Amino acid sequence: MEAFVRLVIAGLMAGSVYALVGLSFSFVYKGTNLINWAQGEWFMLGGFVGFTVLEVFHFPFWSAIVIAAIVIFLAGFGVYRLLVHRMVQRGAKLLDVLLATIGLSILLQNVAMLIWGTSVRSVPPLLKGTLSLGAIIVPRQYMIIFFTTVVAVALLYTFMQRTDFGTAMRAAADNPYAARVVGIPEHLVNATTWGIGAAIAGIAGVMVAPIFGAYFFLGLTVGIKGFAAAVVGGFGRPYGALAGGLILGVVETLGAAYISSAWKDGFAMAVLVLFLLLRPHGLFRAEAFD
Amino acid sequence: MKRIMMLVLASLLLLTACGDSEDSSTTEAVSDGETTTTQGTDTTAPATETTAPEAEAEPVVFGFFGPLTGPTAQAGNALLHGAELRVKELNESGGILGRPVELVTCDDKSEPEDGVTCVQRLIDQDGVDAIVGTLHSPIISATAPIVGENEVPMVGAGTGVAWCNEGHEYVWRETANSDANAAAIKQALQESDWSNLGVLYQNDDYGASGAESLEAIEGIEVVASETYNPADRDYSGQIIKLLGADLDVIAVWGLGDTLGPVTNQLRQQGWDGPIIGAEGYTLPEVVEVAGENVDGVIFASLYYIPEEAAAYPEENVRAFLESYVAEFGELPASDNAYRAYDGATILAYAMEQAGSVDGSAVKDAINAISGLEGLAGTFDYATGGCEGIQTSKLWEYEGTSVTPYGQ
Repeated sequence: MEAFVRLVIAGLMAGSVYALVGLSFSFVYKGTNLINWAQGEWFMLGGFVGFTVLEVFHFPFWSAIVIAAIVIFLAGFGVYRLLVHRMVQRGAKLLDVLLATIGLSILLQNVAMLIWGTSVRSVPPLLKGTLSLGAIIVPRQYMIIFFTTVVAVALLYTFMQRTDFGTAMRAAADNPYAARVVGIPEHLVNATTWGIGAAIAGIAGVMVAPIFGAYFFLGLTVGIKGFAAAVVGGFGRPYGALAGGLILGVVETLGAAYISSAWKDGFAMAVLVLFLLLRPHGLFRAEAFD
Repeated sequence: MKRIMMLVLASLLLLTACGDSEDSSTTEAVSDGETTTTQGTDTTAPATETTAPEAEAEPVVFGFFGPLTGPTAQAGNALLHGAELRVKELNESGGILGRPVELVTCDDKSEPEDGVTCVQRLIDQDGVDAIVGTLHSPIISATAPIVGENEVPMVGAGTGVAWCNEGHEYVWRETANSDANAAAIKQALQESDWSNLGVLYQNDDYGASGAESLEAIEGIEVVASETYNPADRDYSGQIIKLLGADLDVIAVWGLGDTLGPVTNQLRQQGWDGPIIGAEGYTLPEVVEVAGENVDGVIFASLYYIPEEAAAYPEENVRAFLESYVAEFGELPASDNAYRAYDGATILAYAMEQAGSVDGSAVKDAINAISGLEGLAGTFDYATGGCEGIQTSKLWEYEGTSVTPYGQ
């Protein structure tokens, strides 16, 4: 019984990563009607930025999350302004931008390799050791991950619902033409959406760097599972992606433990395929930007 | 604006095409099996001058292929450096049969198709006389028939047992196979007081064969066994399930780049007990990633990477490490450096014994080797066939330093 609970908790931890990455996919899609395939790479780069902040500059842990969020935000913002904006202006559609971002993801993997090398970089955990809740043992670092996820989502929600800029973003997503009419700078808003999406994935990267390490190849699988999480939750429904991610994480971890650890990646994909077959619009129907 | 963006994109592409990673000097990233030629050592600069014994004599060409990019790039580049160092030393002492030695390299990117392309090019286009081969056992299996057909002797660095048993006439192992490491580990387990063993292994030939060999040990029983995919970094499910059993010791059988996170997560999930594993634990990267969590890890390997050259217990390895540091500015990133160094030594020795670089003659010379001292120990192919060394040694981490096990 303890093993089951521990597995569910571990699944929620991995699920939090998929949830945040999935959230970033859906967030970008809902805000700009575009898919950025490189969200997994933002996750990976977040981990590396965290590594640099913590191991090279020796700043405290929470500053690493904040700095990574800012750096990756700027990178995401920059990608939109320099790459996507120009494509969209020339009439590029979702598929064109998606293909371009596939290339971007390869580029980012190689940039990471160039800067940080090919080996796994490790980050010491903020909280070492384990927590004992009765017979259940949980690594303390998991608490950081859950806390960070909740705070990141709460901040996002507050920003979107309670600030002017957030309202502007929701307006531009709802009706770009009307937004332009009332003077909302659409392309600035879109770039910010991409930046925020990138930052969310980057934050996920920092928070699990003590467990997974930072590794240039990590973005690929995490990106795909994050995408799957977004689909499961209803693509374009950011908070649905949270549920999708947590479900995927738990299914994957339980499957690896009870069915076969060799097929672990397969379970996440099986859930995805199941949803596409039975409930393609996901858990929650994609609705307004909320 | 458009032109500026084109320029930026083009320069970014150029940047990614010629990579130089922070902690190991990689060769120019080669794609599609293109080869780069070097004279001896530094491959990132154009051919360095070495004192060629007879500038006019036709060089002996050694081919090299291995994973210079990709997940095992650390080990692959260390492999290359080992070969480069030996070739440099050969040239400084008169070459082979009075002829200078050249090293031609190729990147197999850890992919069998690229390995095959590499070997074809090395043989057909670069006319190599012998090959110092990759560390990936499946790729050695894939390329062995080619070197056999072309009668080009190849020494391989991989430790998977299979490729030495497939009947290839032109391949030899320049290190001990994982059975030798497994045998050393089995002996340690047998002689210990432990009775319950948990196994965590990588989901491929390498891991599976290691796990299998752990099943049949007297006095100790495998009560739990889990596997993980090499590209994965989250092992929490498997570890939690493993820890549900009552264990005295956990055996981990995987490659270097996974061992760091695995060891970390084992400790993070609350396992304080002994961990025993294969030669992957010699990778300095593992200590970098896992830090103090490696304390108590026991591993079998012919050799390991010390924290400094002077600390190594064996004199010939110490000398190698000191030359390596002088040449490349840092200790090897992986014990593969020892392997390729020994491999090049074996090839050169055989050529001298045969008095020629003719493939068939060199093959016979290698098969006659007995008592050749290398970094790994004493090589004997006369009785071993493809395997030159069949025993291994045990070491233990105390904190982050390595000491011989049992002392």
